[in-house]
Amino acid sequence: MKDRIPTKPGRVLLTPEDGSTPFYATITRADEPTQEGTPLNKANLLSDETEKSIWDVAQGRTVNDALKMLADVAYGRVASLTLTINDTDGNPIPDVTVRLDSAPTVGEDPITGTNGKIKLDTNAGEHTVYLVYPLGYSAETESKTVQVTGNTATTVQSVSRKAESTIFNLTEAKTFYIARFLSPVQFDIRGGGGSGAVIAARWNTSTSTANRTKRASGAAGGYVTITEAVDVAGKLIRVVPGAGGAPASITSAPSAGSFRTASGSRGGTTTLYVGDQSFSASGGAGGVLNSSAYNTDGGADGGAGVNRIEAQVGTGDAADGKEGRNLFDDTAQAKKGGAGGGAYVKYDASSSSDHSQMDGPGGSGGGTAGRASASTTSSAVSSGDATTAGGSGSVVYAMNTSSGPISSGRGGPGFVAFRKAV
Amino acid sequence: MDACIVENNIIVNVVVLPDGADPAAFGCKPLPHGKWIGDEYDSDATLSARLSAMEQNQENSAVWDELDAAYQEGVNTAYDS
Repeated sequence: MKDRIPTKPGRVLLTPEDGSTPFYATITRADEPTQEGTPLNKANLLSDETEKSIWDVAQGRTVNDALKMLADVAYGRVASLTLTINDTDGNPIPDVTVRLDSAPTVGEDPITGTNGKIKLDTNAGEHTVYLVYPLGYSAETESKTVQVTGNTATTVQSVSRKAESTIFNLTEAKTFYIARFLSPVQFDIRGGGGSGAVIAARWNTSTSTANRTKRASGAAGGYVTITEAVDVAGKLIRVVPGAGGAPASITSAPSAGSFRTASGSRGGTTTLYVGDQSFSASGGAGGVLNSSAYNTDGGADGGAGVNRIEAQVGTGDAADGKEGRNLFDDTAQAKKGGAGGGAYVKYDASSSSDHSQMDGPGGSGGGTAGRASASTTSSAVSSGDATTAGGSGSVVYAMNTSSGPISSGRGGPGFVAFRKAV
Repeated sequence: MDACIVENNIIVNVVVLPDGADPAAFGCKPLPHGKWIGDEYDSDATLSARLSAMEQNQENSAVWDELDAAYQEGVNTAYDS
């Protein structure tokens, strides 16, 4: 409440009822009391100190406000819970998302401050506290039942810090905070790998010479973005990984003498948001039909669709999917995002000994091998799903009589990995 | 599960969400079966609606004329039968 602050203490304006001119006067009590009594002022009715003891902050509330609040508290209609959240070593944990009685949504519900504390207004009774910790602790979520009466305070101290050398890998969309003891961090962002192309042929003597050779390059691995140290303390982070390219598929055998084709698909783009910053890595390209060149549109080159004479490149074969890059470009870490192998078939209907076929293995780090065959195929074929942003191999089959699908595998989904910057 | 990001009715990205997640929470839409990056998201437009859209584009006038003729022939055939 607030005291009245007059510029002329005791002064009043008197307006006579007979209509004569109003005049000012000063009132002075002259009752000669035997006891002065308690003045009716802020200090005696509701001081700032008393108001703070009820609401934590003084905002000029009235005595009526205070009486209502005390009644609400007395009858359990209003209560508060002050949580202190520490790790098992007693360090406060900031950025813990908290909600009472239902699972919280990170980025929408309130979080603990730098001192690990948060105050929640509620009503008296039994409540369940739901917590979502920043990434970097031994548990990601926790719930705890508490009995709240009046102003209740409680401490939660049940999770420990993970090792600072931990590498975190996110393969699905997620919104989160990162533990402040890990900041700054380095991110490795990979787009989704592409999927291989498919050619299913059913050649015979009527097939033109030009159409008796078919080839496709393998899918490329997802593009790569590796950041320098990024400050993540207290920043809301969202990861949205790109999907691996959808498999190409031919679901019924071509008619005799003809062929069918299906292009590979590009993987999805992976995006990372850190506060108001954003980073991304595009998906690798799908396998390319009729290509005798490397598929260079990605983080690792898809193998070429080549025969053995064309294939030799240094110590390797051009049909091989190239290996992915090491996580964080750190040679101590695993390779990710290898490319798919290429596939090539030449069919000579006049002489089976002239048939030739070649397929390359998938690149180290998630790529899958191409598949090529000049022999009759009567069952379903797939080059297999790639992993970890890798590209899948292309598939070329010369004598497909199968009603089952001739398919490439799905590209490997993108991801975001991070670790404490060194 | 896969979901897509759509701009001007074109699928511009396909991303991975947790199973059961609400795509809208990540600015996404459900990925229709068989669709991928570069496809139109809403392919349920009627032939009539697509022809009307093409009619607005003078560059497609030749295609429009051809499709319109085919469309009218189909309508007439239906009436005749």
